[in-house]
Amino acid sequence: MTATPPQPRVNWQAATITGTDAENARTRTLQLQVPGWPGHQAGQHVDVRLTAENGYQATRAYSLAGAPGEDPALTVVRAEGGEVSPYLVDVIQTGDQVELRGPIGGYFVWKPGPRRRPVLLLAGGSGVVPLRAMLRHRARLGDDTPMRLLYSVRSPEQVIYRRELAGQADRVSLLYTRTTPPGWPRPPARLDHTALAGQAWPPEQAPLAYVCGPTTFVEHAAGLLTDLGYTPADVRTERYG
Amino acid sequence: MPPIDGNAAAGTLAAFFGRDMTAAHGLCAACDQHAPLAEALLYGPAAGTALHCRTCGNLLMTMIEAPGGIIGAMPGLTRLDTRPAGGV
Ligand SMILES: Cc1cc2nc3c(=O)[nH]c(=O)nc-3n(C[C@H](O)[C@H](O)[C@H](O)COP(=O)(O)OP(=O)(O)OC[C@H]3O[C@@H](n4cnc5c(N)ncnc54)[C@H](O)[C@@H]3O)c2cc1C
Ligand SMILES: [Zn+2]
Repeated sequence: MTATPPQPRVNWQAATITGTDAENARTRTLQLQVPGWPGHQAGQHVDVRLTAENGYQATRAYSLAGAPGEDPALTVVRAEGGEVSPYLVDVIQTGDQVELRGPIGGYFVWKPGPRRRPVLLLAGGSGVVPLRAMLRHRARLGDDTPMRLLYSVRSPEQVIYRRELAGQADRVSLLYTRTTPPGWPRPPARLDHTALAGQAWPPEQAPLAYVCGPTTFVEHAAGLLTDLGYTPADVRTERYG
Repeated sequence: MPPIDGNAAAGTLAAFFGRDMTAAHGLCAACDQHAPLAEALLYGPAAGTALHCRTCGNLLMTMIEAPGGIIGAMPGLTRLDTRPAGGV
């Protein structure tokens, strides 16, 4: 009954940058053209490999930002002093190539299920990228699975996909942890039990949760979900570092 | 850097096994924890990939991408199961 999932693409191949969009001062979305791209699932990622002139190679994982059916795109946040992300955010240009392997990952993925289990998406910082792909997937399908995103971010300047998320205010909540926009009703605070309980589907509805972001955020948020009564096996996590 | 998780090894695992392995369940030889490889602990990025049991820290699996192929070892797994939800 279970369909065999598509086989991951395990060989490195060249991807060409076809366009770039600045999301904020330290974040850029790269549109890619990958010959024979087989399509992907919401939540999957690719490995990107850069090779220096002296042969030194660095490989990092980046989530696919678009919905299944859209061309592959990556949204990269600059980690100051990093080996790979500053190059992808500041240096690479349309027409340049990177080596890429994927799409990959069969665990941290979402597609509509027959039971329409409600979905809670919890993002910390750049962890919003694969969760945005899930929101877009649902919207493009016109699917009616209840889905809600709680996005924890330091400050208004660091929000990614600002306009797109603002257009879905009924299912997206921002939680500022350091500074808020002027007049914001809630003072800056870390995600806590009260904030989460106010947004989360009750455990009786058999919700699924996807939690993505820095390791400290993921551990904290997953712990809060367990305290709320979520089944650990229904809380899928992806740690970015 | 704090540890990340087995999702980050999806590419190496797929290159090694020819299929997605992040959803596959591994049985820890030290503590009998049965969990998706996606939930294993991974310290990286590094030249090689080492997955540890999230419950007890036991070294489950190592992989090194070498020119021409991948060298792997599974010292801490008594079982790997690719059925949905590990057959549970
Ligand atoms: C499955 C998966 C998917 C990912 N998807 C994305 C994505 O869609 N977009 C994205 O931007 N990143 C994503 N990441 C993170 C990405 O793989 C890199 O870790 C990140 O870009 C930093 O790489 P770097 O080479 O620039 O920095 P490195 O050279 O690895 O690190 C340089 C320095 O930056 C610090 N650092 C690294 N990461 C962070 C961080 N997140 N916050 C603060 N300091 C940090 C390190 O401690 C180190 O001191 C993902 C990671 C995983 C495992
Ligand atoms: Zn163990």
